[in-house]
Amino acid sequence: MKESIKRRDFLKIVGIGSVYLVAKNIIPGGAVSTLLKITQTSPTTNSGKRWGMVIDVGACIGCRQCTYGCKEENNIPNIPAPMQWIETFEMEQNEPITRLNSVPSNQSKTSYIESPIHGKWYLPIACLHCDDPPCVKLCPTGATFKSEDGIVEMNYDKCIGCRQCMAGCPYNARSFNWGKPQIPQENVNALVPVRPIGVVEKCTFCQHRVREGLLTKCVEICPVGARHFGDLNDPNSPPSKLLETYISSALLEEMNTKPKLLYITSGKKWFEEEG
Amino acid sequence: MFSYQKNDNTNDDIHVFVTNLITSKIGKKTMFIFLLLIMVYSIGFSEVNAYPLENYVGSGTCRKCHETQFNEWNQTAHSRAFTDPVFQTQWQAQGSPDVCLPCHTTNFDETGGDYQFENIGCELCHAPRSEYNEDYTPASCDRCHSVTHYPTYTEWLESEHSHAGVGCDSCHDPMTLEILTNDPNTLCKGCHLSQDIEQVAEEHGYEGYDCLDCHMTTSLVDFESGTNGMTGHTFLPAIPSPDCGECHTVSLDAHTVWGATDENCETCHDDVYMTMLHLLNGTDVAMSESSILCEQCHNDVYYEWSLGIHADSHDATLVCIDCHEPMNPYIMMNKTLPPVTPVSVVIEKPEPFISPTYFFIAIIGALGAAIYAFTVRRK
Repeated sequence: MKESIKRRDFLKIVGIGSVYLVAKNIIPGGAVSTLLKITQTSPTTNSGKRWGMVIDVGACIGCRQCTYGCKEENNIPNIPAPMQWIETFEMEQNEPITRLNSVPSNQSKTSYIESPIHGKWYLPIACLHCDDPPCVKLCPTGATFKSEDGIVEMNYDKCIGCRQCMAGCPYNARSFNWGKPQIPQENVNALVPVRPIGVVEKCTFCQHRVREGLLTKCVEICPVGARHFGDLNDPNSPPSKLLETYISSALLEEMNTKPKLLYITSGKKWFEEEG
Repeated sequence: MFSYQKNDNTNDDIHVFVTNLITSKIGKKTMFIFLLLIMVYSIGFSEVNAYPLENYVGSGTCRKCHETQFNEWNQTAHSRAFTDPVFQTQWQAQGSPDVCLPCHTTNFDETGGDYQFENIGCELCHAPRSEYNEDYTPASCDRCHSVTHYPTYTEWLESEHSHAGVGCDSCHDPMTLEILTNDPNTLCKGCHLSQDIEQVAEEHGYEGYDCLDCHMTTSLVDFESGTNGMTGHTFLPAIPSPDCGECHTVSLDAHTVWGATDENCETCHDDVYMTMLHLLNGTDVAMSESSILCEQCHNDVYYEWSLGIHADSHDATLVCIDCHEPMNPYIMMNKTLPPVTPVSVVIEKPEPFISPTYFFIAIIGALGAAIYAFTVRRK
């Protein structure tokens, strides 16, 4: 029979292990992971910037131009199954953002055909690039991490497809590649990798664009100008100015994820224009 | 063989009569009376009649050679101008005045107060039979159509058509009096070809209006009250300067910078040629170049658009109104794209080969039997 381990050693191991797990979940921003160099930083980061986005749900008309623009830009496949990184929900007029128990998962809310309809407002949800992301805390390999400039990034090579991040994201913002994504050659955007089978993907704040000084595709393509992207460290950037002017709300605020994608309602309400 | 019979007609009746006449078998008195009768009777056939001025023969006579034209005329109101019951009722109600007759009858004699033929015959417009010549130029329509209760000619003199040489026969067939084409809009467009008018006509046509609805207002004469008739041949619109809102129900919620009245519409649109636009300084702009109108106020968006960063700028042929509804530009005409994940389809699970319940019972039964066989019944 094997020599049984001594009691003290056992207690030391258990103690250190539990302290580590508790610290990992309490200290925000995956700092412990960074300290222990478990995760990585992206080589193309713009240090000093803190990217954020503001969406004006008063102006959103639910046209899904952002969804399709994002699909085109980021090589999001339709084969084997149609996927989207931005999902727009049709909400009733008195359904507020802050008291949502969870992100609405009812399919009837995302499968509307006509918009905008008087009496309903539209809520586009994608990865909110939280400052304290549950998905990063849950990833066993460190394939998803929070970069220096605030983007929660994905490393598709490290992803093993366990989907813990999908379970942990309270906003259901992540999608999984159940099959090998196939995109016609002429539609492939060379700046964005085409994902392999069995990895999780999500909105990347168009990191290949914003780190070169451009705007994200969804912000650019929105026909009503409901989306605003910029550096939250810069007081003159559109999201900073909007956040100063209007009351902003985070989705599921009580989860304390501190998202960087915030929602406002400015005066530009399309349904107030009628008489 | 041939019979050389002489052509002997000396015994025919006519030969006998004439021979007897010449050889005075019939008395001279008889012949004299016969001649007198002929003379008196021929007076009736002479051209002398009670209407000595012109020599009218009546439409029926013209018919003998001009059958086609007669039939055309017979369908028109001219051929019923006197006999028409509406005329008769009105005319007799006013005591059958003579003033009506120069237009409603042919060859009315002022001095005698008689007319020769009822209705407007061939000869009222064309010359009477005695002046028959190659040139059948009819008289001008104003001879009759310039009275107070039928002032077509007077109205026409007021209109631009009279200055442009557009006469009665430009639109009316002179014989059948009908409009030259069935669709009045086609007739107007025959000359009024400018794209604006055609576009306006098409736009109005969609709402069921044609040129005549605004440009030819007619009303019947009322002799009792003395209201004159209107035949609409001034071609002026009934409402000289209508309020845009009388016909167009367009709400201008977003573009009411200058108020919600006509002046607002006329900021961009011409008031007559409504599909012609103009800048604030008055420069005309065609509808296809409408983007520069928006630029006057929305110059920041225009600049972004010119740089290619406003919305989806791939298509260089797009103008502002391709996406923005011009009256309420805040409300987009964007077509909502379809949902990415289609609504889930209920998949019918096929029935299993064996019903699960029976299969379960069978398995348990077999298992139970096996256990029983190997334990209880084992020796």
